[in-house]
Amino acid sequence: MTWADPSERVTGASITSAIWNTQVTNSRNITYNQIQYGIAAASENKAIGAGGVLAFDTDFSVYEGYSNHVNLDRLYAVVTGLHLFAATLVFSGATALTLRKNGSSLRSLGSYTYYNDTALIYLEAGDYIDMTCATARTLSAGSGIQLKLLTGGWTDYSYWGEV
Amino acid sequence: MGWVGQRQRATGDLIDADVWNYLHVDSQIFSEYQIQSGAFVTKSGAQLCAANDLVTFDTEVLDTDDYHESVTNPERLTSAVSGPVILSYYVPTDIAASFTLMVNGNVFVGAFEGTSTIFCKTIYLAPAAGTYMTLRCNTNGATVAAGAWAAIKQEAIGNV
Repeated sequence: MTWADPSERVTGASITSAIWNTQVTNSRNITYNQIQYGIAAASENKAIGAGGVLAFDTDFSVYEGYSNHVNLDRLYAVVTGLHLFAATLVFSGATALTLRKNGSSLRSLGSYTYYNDTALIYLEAGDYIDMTCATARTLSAGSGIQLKLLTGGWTDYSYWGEV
Repeated sequence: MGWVGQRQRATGDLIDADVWNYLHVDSQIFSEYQIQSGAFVTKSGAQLCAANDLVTFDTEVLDTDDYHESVTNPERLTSAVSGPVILSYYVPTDIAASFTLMVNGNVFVGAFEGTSTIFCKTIYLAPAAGTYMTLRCNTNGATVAAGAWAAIKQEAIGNV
């Protein structure tokens, strides 16, 4: 007996462990991916040198993988897809900001003393983001960046097979 | 044995086709749309704009539901279904320029916040299915840099 496309079950068909594991368990895992997010924040004022990476010392991530717990300045993409990036940053004076991916410039953001904005960015699993400021400044405690998966994590269900 | 409430199953209950299709499959389809639907498009080359030219995008990094096509209307992001979307642009230019969001060819949000060499905005709007969004450059002679991007993420579309 076959499953109706894409996954509907006809009366009398069994739900095998393969179907259960593919559809229900993966869906559950995907949902987990979707509701998690990563946050890196500064718990105290941080002196950042010219061209330096914004220093965050606190990981508020709600998923194992957004932080590697070593480079707390970074947030990692766990799953490939579109992400919502958000940052709230307060500096001692205006400075040009750059959002970087894997250490290279991804987006020049302009010059700000207070930066509070969001963007949709596309990242592949394992990519990391961080930020730099062009001018030596003090980054205020409470500043932080956030990354949240929006699309992706959806399994290509190749298994609709015979049961 | 009866089901506990709408969704919970008591020990020994069978999962019949109706329950599976109603609770799991519908939920899965809904989740798929919620999770998956979106587009991220970029420019592979620079674009010199005359006043009121629309910014075009030619590279689809992600496009799950034909939000974009690169031949006939490469300037458009077209909403696949009715419902809220997050729309985000990142458009650097060589000179200070202003931009206007157009919806179905009409001005939706006026020239955003003066002029800048970096236009980056993320907004939330609720277009009907088939609505297309474009970004108009208002500044004659501005060159949009290669690597500029536009992104759209479908948000809630209601339960099935």
